[in-house]
Amino acid sequence: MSKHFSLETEPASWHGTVVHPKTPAELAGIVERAFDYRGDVTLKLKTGESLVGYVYNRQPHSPCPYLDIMLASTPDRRRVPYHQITAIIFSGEDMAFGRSWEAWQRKKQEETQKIYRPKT
Amino acid sequence: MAVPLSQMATVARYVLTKKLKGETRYPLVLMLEPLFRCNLACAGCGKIQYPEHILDRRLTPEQCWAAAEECGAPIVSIPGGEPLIHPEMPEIVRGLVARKKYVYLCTNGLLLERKIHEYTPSKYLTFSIHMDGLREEHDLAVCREGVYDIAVRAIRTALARGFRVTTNTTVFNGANPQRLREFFDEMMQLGVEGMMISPGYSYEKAPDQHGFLTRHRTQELFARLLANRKRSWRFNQSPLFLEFLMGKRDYQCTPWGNPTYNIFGWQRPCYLLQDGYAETFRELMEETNWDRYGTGRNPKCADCMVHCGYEASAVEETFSSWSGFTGTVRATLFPT
Repeated sequence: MSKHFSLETEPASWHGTVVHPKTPAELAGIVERAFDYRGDVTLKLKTGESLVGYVYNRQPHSPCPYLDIMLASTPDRRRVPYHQITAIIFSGEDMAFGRSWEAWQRKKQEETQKIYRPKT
Repeated sequence: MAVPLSQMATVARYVLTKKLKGETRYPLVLMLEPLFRCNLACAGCGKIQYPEHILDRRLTPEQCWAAAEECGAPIVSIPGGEPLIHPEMPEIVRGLVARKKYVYLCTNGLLLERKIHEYTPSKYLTFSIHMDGLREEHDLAVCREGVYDIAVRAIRTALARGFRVTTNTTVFNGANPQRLREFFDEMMQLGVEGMMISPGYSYEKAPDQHGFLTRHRTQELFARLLANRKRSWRFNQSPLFLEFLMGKRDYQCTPWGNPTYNIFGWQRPCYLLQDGYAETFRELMEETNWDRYGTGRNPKCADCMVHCGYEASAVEETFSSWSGFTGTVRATLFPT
């Protein structure tokens, strides 16, 4: 199920979020989130094309702002001007989300308890 | 002496040449990340959290050699990911050694015994083994039991085969200085050439967000860790940088000192902070707004005292003034 975004909300996880930016500021803001996201995104372009991949670079202050994306299905990379983007979907899993230190500690604790649990 | 004289001479000649040419920003160590995939998932690491197709990508040997030539730094450090996973790593290393680069191949040691026959001992090649403390602390930091013992075996094997071996240790919040001092003893007893230590950087993407040190806490901890240090301990790094960690010196970050090249390109501004990529080294050096980064300039840099930002600053001081030079000599001969 997709989640929809507004600039006022900052979800715990962006995974599944769909954004149709309405203003250049909103577009720039969501590109920053996509750049910071450790998962694949899907870019919908004005040409009707969809690009799925990892956004590894962006230049918001360039005369013609653009982002760079490494495509998931081919070894290629593409440079996409911001003005070509109609929607950004945080389609791939965020690889930095939910793999917390606490989760590791919990797992370790459970393993220790298993080893030392008295047999009944 | 932790670093061989030939290496010291090469670095000194390189820095002095840069200074004679009037270059104020120059690279000292190329951080070459040929892949992000790792066979561990350490709690304090923010380097490996990527989609599969990114983890599957690797730099080719030609890309690695081109980066080394483009950058020109005399030292190439190869972190990752785990570099020994890269099937062409022996070829990459051979090419860098042929270019007379001092290579520090950083590894967690898990694959070293299996792959060591693919490498040839050389004064230009050092295996830098990741060791975050004694057995208990190290296995906890790398989130897997048994890794410490494997790494120790790998160190012994590499030393027995005549390789240069150092350790690299990240110090996290809550580290026990006494235990770390015992760890230094143990590493020196193993016979490593020298040790490298640095506080951890608070990667936003690392699982453990509680383990990173604040600046004040770093200074406190390193002051206790390195005070009255034993003569037997050898550190493979600038003595002025160690004094900086102890709070005895103050430096501004020189992120261009350790430029980073990986599958995305030249990373802005440094090895730790990802603020985008340049396509060429020249673009990185000339078009990065360096004033935006460093202590007091960027909140993400506030607590950072990591070697890749500040060791080059310490080396710069050594070669910039008589007091810097004599301070280095003093700190080398009479560490406090």
